[in-house]
Amino acid sequence: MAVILSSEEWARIHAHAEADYPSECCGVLLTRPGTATDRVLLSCRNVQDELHAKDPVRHPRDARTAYFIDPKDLLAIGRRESQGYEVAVIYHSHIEAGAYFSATDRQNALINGEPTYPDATYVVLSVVDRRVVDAAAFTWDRGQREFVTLDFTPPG
Amino acid sequence: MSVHVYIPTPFRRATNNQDRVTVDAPDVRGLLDELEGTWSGLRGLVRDERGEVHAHVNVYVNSEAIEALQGLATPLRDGDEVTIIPALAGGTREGRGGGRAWR
Repeated sequence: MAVILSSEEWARIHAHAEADYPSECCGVLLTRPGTATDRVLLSCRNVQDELHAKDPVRHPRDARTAYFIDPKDLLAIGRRESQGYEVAVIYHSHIEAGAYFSATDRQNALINGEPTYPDATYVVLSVVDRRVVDAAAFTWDRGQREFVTLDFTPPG
Repeated sequence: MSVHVYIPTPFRRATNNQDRVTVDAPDVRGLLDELEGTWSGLRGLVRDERGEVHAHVNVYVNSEAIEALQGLATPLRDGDEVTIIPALAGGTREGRGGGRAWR
């Protein structure tokens, strides 16, 4: 598959995942179609702990097992989209767990059964004992109407 | 009350790919009514059957989330900017498996 992350972008995501341990990290890469270098990596804030503290019934998980991108970051993403950028990569980490696309990830990536970002690549990092030990990438397959695993090797 | 609305990519399939529209509405509820009246495909995407904004959708008026304002009753003024954005969220499944080494 095409390279979805540059070495520098991957290094930043990798560092973000380890810095936010034991919370899940999250962020997006926005790119402007038709340009090779017009890319913006937004390391976002995971507000899951705040949601859990405010309403543990509606948000039973904390940031150790879930992420919810800060609405302020969502607004920044929307602003970039309105400038012609597209969400190319959505990343987050799993703590003491593997790099897979979980049922929760899948559920939250759909709105009424349709993919929210059908052209985006979802990158999941596995962080064990404060260290990133694995990563995998997933995207929506229009033919199968399902998220499928992509061949992903982190750039060196 | 002319208000500018930004439609995010995931909802543009319901708006004939329009990303910006102008709506006349006195408040956020009226604005959503107006949008759903124009594009029926938006029904169910932004609000649930009770008319409440879905938990996975955020609505902002001039960069302020409506939860921090007056919710659907938030009044709108001429020239306001409304942005509708789906949440980005997820997480590990319960009963997590251990991580594995790099392949």
